[in-house]
Amino acid sequence: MEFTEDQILRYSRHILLPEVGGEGQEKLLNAKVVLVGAGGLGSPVGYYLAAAGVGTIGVIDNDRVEISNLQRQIAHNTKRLGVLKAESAKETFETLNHDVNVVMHKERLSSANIKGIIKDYDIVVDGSDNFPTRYLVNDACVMLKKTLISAAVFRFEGQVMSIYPGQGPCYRCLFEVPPPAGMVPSCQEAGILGVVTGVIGTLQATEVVKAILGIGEPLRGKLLLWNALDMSFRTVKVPRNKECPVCGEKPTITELIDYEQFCSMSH
Amino acid sequence: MTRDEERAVALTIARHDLTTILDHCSAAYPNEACGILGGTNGRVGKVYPMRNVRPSPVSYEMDAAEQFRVMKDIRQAGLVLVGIFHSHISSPAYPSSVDVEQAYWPGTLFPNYPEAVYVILSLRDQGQPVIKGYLIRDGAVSDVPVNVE
Repeated sequence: MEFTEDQILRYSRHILLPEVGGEGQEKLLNAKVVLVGAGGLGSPVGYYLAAAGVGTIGVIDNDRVEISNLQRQIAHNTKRLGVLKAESAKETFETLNHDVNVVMHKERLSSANIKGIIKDYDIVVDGSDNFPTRYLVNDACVMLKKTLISAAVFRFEGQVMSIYPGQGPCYRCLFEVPPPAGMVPSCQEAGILGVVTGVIGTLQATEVVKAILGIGEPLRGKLLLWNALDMSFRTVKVPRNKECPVCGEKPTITELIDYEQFCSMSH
Repeated sequence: MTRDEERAVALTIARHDLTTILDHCSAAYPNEACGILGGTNGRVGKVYPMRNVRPSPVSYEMDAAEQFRVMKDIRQAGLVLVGIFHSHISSPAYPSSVDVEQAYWPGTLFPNYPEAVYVILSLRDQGQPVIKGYLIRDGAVSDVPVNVE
């Protein structure tokens, strides 16, 4: 592909890197990445992917921008209160970079629609705020063999893991089933330091860009934990679970499950 | 100080405090008993026997309101949470899979009480109770010696 003069300037700091170059930039422009949620995590992920020139960014979200989101969800702003987050994110990301086409999926994910949505993308980024969605996304990605960059945040901490179905563990290898409703303490009280979503989201974006370029070592079989208070990064090895119900040797989950929505941590 | 340095390398407990724990656990037998340990620098200063709101030989659950009261008392006494204890009725003094699961915020490896030593008292042999301490962190269980003075 021929870069325009603007593109050569826009992506010059990428093209200068031998590990990226014109070839890598072309991969980025041709890549298709879908974000599950345009909230605390999806905002920085989408922002950096748009800046990097990822050509197609899908945004799955059916919520509207609320004022309590703006402490961390940087894709949105005060003028967009009440606007669908998918629309707000499209405006933000496409304004940053006209090379980017943001495809809006203004719907709530379920077993009925998830495969149809993610099948057209190369990489799925989970920035969801609840267990039913997190397990649904994991299972669908395993079934369709889609690379999944999974993350979670809570208070002052965050974790990231990259899931390459068939090549490493999935989320269920580590946390086999969602916790029972009674085990999740009062979710409304679960605070989050806004910037934590920024750090963890940009770590997710880093994993996406590396995956597209095929460079470096992904967080495959490794869970990265970060704590804001002591600025510590820890990496925990996660083995594949042969008895994993979805990616193990004899999977017992062969169809998608809609777990009951019992908690929204509202990240 | 980093979190590593804050981590207890040992938990020290006075003999009379150990007796309090033993008595509380024996009284609840054949169900599990639980409690909280306040202290400083890995030394237990006060034992809080807690009510097990779901009495069972295989699990325990503390009362949330009682927990809040105890945490407040610990703060006001100038102490910190140094440990959480419970008894095992028919299994060794080692964290069960549920114990490990409950040490983290669900679906994550974020520790709920990063500073706490998990103390388990096994009453499998009632004549010979066994007490052991553990850290449950980063997806792993590691031993913490419990010294009785």
